[in-house]
Amino acid sequence: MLDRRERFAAWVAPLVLVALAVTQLSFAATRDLTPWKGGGFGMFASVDRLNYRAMQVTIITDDGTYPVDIHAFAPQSRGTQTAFVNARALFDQRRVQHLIDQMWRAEWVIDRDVATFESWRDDDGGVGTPLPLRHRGHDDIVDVRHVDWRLYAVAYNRGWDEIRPRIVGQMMVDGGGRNLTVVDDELSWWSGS
Amino acid sequence: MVVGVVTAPRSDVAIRLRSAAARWSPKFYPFLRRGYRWLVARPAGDDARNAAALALRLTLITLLIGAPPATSLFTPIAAVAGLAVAGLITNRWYWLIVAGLFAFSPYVRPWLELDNHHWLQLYWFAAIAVTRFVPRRDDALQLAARLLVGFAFLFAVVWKVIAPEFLNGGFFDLTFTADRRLGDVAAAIGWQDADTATSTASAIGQWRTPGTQPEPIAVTVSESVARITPRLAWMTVVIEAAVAVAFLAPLRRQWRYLRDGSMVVFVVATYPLAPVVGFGRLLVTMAAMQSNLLPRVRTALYVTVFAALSLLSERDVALDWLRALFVVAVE
Repeated sequence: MLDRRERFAAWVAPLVLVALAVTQLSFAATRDLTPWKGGGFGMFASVDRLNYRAMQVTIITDDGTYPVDIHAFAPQSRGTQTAFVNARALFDQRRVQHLIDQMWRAEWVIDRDVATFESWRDDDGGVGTPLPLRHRGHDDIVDVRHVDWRLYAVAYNRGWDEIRPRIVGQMMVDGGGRNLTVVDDELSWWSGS
Repeated sequence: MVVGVVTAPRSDVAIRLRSAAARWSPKFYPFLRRGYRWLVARPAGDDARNAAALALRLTLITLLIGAPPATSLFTPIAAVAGLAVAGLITNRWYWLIVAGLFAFSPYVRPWLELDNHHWLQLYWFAAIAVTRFVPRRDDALQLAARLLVGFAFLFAVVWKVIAPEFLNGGFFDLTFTADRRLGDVAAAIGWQDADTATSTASAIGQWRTPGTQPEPIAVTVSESVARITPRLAWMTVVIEAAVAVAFLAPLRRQWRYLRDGSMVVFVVATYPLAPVVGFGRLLVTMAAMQSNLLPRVRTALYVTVFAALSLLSERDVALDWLRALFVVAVE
């Protein structure tokens, strides 16, 4: 028989596992965390994989709307990669705001009607300042009214003849990268339809 | 009425086989007996210490050959040092440093990107490090290994039961159709077209194209896949539940081989289809630690399974074998 100290040493890692797995289950149920991530052992159980989650970001300006190549922006730095992964896995205001912080640290250029990452900003600007977005070959900053963030997941069940996109959530932020608001808060649990 | 028993005349072949066995068995018997004794002999030292000697080495081999890419150079160096330097593998400070470096390496961030076996690996290193500081450290690690495997499987089963698309086969329908890891296996044995998984995955990837409004993707699940997937789902749940129960239940000593048996069944049933070999090797390592089999049986069993899993990482070779086996079975 193990004594009390030995039993504690044996149980400490399993108890952390249980605590984290229970938390992951509750986050998946209430906040649409992808079941594949978060340490809850939900891999190979649900079709809602992180890899299948697609983020669509659109910049709305006075002269038109421009989709952002956000998936190409993700690998630009360790910080952007972390923020991007976290926001896709758990689409909540805190994590989307982290990604917005990263976006506002960069210079953006509109090329063939798509906003793409150009370089990191030289100044100390960030959220609270206008997003440095320009048309290629122009110096003027485009006035951004707001930026729309949407995340889609895969929905599928037996007998369906199609894989359907399910909107995990939609948020909107103003032109300064602040005041992030949830547009569609109907986060559904296994809605799939 | 008298019912007679008719015995078939013994064939010449049977008689010849019997006489050959009688002639050769005394010559082979000593070898068999020696082999059996080697397997069942209980060397000096208690069970837990022997199990730890095996499991800690397998842990370091796992670290050496299957470390996540971002764990930096320390990982192979630490693993080689632990395997090569006498006494290091039993040194508590060595394990504390390895666990600490592993836990705080860049690989643990972003934590929402970690796969479940990365989490389990972190827990396993934590359990090794913590138990090194108590008197009966190997007994404590044996309990920790059993609980970690048991709880991991318990939560895996919970997820599979509550996900509405799992038990009816929907999850596997989509996975065969959109995930190359399983789709290639289905294609190799002729259940679906070779490019099905690639094209479906590519269509899902199109949802990421900037400015795209994601649209439904038409999908056709082949009859062969649709027939097998509900059975596959139930078989998965039953096997994983068996592992969870066997590892979490306080079994009497004579029943503890069920833990080894259920783990081997799980590995054999799972990894040829879903070759997440790193996960498999980790589970085998932890199962070896908790095992109460006789030491040499334990070593022979788990080293064999560990090596077989490592071979499975050669995906194309594994698929060729699977194809050949299927052809043989059908013919």
